[in-house]
Amino acid sequence: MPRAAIAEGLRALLLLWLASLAAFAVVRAMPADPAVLSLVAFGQAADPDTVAALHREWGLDQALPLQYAAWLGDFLTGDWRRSFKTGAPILDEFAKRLPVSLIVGFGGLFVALLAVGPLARGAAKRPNGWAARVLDAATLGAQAIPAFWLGCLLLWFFAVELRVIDVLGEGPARYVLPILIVAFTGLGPLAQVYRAGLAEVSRADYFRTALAKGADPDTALEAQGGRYARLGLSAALTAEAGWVVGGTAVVEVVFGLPGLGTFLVDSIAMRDYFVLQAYIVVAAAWMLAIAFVAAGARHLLDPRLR
Amino acid sequence: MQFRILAAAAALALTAVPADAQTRPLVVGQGFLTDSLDPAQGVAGWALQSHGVAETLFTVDREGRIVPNLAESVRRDGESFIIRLKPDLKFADGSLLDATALKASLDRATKENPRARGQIGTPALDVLNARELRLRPERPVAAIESVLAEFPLAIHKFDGTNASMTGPFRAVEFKRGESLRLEPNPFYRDVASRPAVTIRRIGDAQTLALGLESGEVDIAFNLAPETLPRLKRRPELTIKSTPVAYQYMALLNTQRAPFDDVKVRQAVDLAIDRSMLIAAANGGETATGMFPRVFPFASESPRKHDAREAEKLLDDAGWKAGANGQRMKDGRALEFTLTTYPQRPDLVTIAPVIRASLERIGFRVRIEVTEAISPQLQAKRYDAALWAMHAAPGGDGAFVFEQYLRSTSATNFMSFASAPVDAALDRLREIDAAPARAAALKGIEQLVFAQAPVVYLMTPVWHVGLSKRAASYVPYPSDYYVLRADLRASP
Repeated sequence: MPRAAIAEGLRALLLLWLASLAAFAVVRAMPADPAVLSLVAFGQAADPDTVAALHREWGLDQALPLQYAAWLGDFLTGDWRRSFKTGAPILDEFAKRLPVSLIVGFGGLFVALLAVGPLARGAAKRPNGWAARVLDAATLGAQAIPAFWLGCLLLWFFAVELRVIDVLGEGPARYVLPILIVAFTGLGPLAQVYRAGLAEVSRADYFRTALAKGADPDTALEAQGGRYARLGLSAALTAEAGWVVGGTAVVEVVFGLPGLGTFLVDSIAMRDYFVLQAYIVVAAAWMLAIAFVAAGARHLLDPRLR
Repeated sequence: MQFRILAAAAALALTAVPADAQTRPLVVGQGFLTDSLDPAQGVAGWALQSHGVAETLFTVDREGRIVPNLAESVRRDGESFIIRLKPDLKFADGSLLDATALKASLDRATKENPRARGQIGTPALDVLNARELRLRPERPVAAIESVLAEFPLAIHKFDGTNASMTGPFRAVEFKRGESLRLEPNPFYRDVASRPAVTIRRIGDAQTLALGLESGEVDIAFNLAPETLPRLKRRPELTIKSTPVAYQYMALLNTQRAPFDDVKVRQAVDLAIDRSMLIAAANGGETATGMFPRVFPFASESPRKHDAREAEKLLDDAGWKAGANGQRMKDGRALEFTLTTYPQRPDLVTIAPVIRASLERIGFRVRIEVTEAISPQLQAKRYDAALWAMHAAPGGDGAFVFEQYLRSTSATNFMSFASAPVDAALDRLREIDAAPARAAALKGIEQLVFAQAPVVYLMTPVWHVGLSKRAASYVPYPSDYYVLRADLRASP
């Protein structure tokens, strides 16, 4: 067991190193020079002297392998460098912004999960019932309605027409609508997977046998199929949780939340190399962490894996 | 249980009631916010100047003229310049802005910020007396007033931790990426008449309009045109629209077909009906050239629209119209991709109108919207691109010509090379007097018109939405000075 854990750890480290290499290569392969972009964006002269001075300041005047080695060394020791655009330490920016994105992303998934069980069970039991209709509508709506449009609509209704919330709200209240929107987009995929798992069990012989023995349908469905359906749900949840880091940019922009998503959007346009490199490595680490947690969940839910 | 948690979350949303509109500071909603309170860092000087916190020695007035601000005057003294400060200037911490403090500010700016060195290199600075400083730039400078109006040279005093500036407002609380709370600078004239202000960064145009409608925003800067009809129906709001110092244009890649042919470029220039662009953008003025009419060196005549002449040019260039109206030459269709970007919503709005004008004379135009246009321009991976820019940020027109049209410039995105234009720009470097510079700029403009690497489209109007409290606000023709000393709030 310790040997397996060490092997897993080494594998994770290797993947992270490869991610850092890929991050550096991909970001540096992007066309355009961040120094010129930065000067043009603010109406300044992109003369060779100024461009060269910015390159020196940002450490871009070295050979690429040296730049990579220096950046990786700094990154591992906690110096993630400074943003070209904001001039602020990137680690500080991530530390401040990541919680905002996590609150929105995980808050949305949590709220979605609260609704998944009742809707999926109802839809599995009565394929033409109200729960199934609501679930199908939510799934279709999440695919068809852009998050920014929904966000603007909700803001207009609650802030302008009813005046019960602030557009520029402060404190925990500002997270409610963004979380509900993320929940809305996540609800359909999660509930459909859970529903499919329950529906499959409800067609199984052992479930019919349970009913024939006089078991209550609701109790029997949960007892016979709950664990199996949650196994599928955990896989779907893994996929949804994977994009929490940086994937909530649209909602963040509409609601003015200073999360990682908005920072990332700005950074891409300005070719903010160190921000983008840091993000890719953090995203890779996040995916590994999620995969690790998901593997643990599967281990608990699926006796065949023990 | 699960539904109870959902209900609790909804109830939490209902607890946030808007603050008392009478007691809160004026709230300005806009798409940008400074990244730092130190004007020597990056481009913070620009944002702080726009926020009314930082000032420069010279500034650009409403008519586009460079006028003294903190400086009383500047005069040439051989290869140096003598800057004379206005009397009794103070920083927001109450300390005196004298020649020694000015030297310290310019020293620090050029040491800390490569952008400042891009203006005057590392200059030699000598204090002559309490109000006069001799500045000798590292390299020759023609229009020194314009350089001293540039944001990297914003005047400040740095105590090792904080920077103090001279504008009508000073920062009280800063939340990076979110908001900046300002109070009137107590050492600036008429301090009692200015309100406290909170600037909120609002990245989405629709959210900005909603903030104005909900009463949370008092000054909504640069509203999207599509929100105007809705906002104008609200009697409590005032919408003020003003032509700005920005110019909308189409850059043509002269290294790519079909724009490697000057006649095709001229045809595009003639074929576009600018009045339709203005109608689509909900306001604006037909461009006369590179510079909006607010500038004294702008050309006078609006760009001409003549579709027949455009067709003749295309005929002469060998592009013949087929039965379906599509022009062909040597088996190739007359077609290109028009690239635009969503950060300037007006440009996305006018792109189809441009396409309609050009397809009427036989072009086939694809429209492409890209999130990051600057990298694409820099890599020259485009056929034609819509572009918006401030035409004279320092109040002098030479800058944009040098940057965009000199054959050797890194930002000559059109790959335009013209020996006469380069020579005229060389001569312009030797001219000091404003009238002579204006005449020279107009001459260069004519050379550029003939080659048409750029098609000047329109001067936009920007729309500012105002609550009753801020109804007296008068927009400036650019985003360089959003908050100024004349800001007042009604009770």
